[in-house]
Amino acid sequence: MKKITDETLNDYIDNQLDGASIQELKMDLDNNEEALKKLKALKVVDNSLKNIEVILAPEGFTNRIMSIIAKGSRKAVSKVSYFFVSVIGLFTALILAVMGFAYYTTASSTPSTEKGYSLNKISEYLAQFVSILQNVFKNQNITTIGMILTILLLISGYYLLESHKDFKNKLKNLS
Amino acid sequence: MRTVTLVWYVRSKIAMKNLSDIEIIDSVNRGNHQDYSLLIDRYKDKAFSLLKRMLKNEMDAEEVLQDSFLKAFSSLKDFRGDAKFSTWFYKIVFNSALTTIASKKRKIEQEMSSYDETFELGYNDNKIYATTENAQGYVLKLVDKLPLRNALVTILFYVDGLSLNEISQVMGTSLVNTKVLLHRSRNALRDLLLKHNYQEELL
Repeated sequence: MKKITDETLNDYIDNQLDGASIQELKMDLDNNEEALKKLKALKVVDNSLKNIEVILAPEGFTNRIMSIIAKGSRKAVSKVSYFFVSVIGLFTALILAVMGFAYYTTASSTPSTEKGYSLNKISEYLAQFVSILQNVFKNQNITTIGMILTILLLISGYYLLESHKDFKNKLKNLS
Repeated sequence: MRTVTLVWYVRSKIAMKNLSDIEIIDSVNRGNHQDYSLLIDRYKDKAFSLLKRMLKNEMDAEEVLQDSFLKAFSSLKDFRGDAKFSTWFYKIVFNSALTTIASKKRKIEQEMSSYDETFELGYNDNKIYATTENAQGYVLKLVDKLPLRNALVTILFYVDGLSLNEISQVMGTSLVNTKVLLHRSRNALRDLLLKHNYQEELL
């Protein structure tokens, strides 16, 4: 009597056997009551498992996820816009303030016929502004504090970048 | 006018439901975030069934399911379509569930018993047998008693309709080992059926 393995029976259940192997198995089963019993039991298991109950997700689940996504999208958009608006706004305000101040002092101190001369005056004021900044940073204490702050900023920027890369890698690994 | 609009709305909804996963993903990636709800509706129940059986707790299952859908949404742009969406999504569900199990300090090594190990399914067989009326009910109650990996393969195969190849991708196991897990689960259930002569129910 040829031995019928569990693997053959399972492959038969999963339709993994070719025509010749099925014929051979059927012939072998005629002389092997124990294997036939096993096959019948496997069929019962297979049929029962095909009827496993699907447990329904809680009611309103889809809407809940969609509202979280909608909130998240709004937050992401507003975060980006706030960031850009504040950075651009700061720079614009600074440039406008310097130019406005320069223009105001030039216009009040020069006659209207000498408008071409005003441009030179503006650049002079800008140069003065730069030299004031240079004088401020000549002070050793301010320079030291500035250096420490820059180093701290660079280190925190590095860790922020690394954690962002790590998070992106985790997401990629999931995919 | 209202009727026409309503008919158009219903028709478009039906048309959307017939879209393939990839078509829905393309639409979501083009900015139609609302279409993601179609994918949620398509997979939420089967994934919830899997999680509830894995985590044995409805609240944990719901939390992990929510987390999985949000993770899938946030990395949907990275989905390259090499594998089916279902395989990719179940991988996220599976890994999220493992993280939850680990965080709850359950003995994961014990639960995630290796496919090389044999397992004893009949330790509370008498109790289960006494409370069931037929073979099907008996088998379904025993599925919950299977070791985690075995139960997972069985559920993914029978409930979620994944092929053995897809299951091996989800679980990160080889195809041969996945097949072994499924066969062992069925054989264990079969042996208990034979013990109670339930195979005769087929006749």
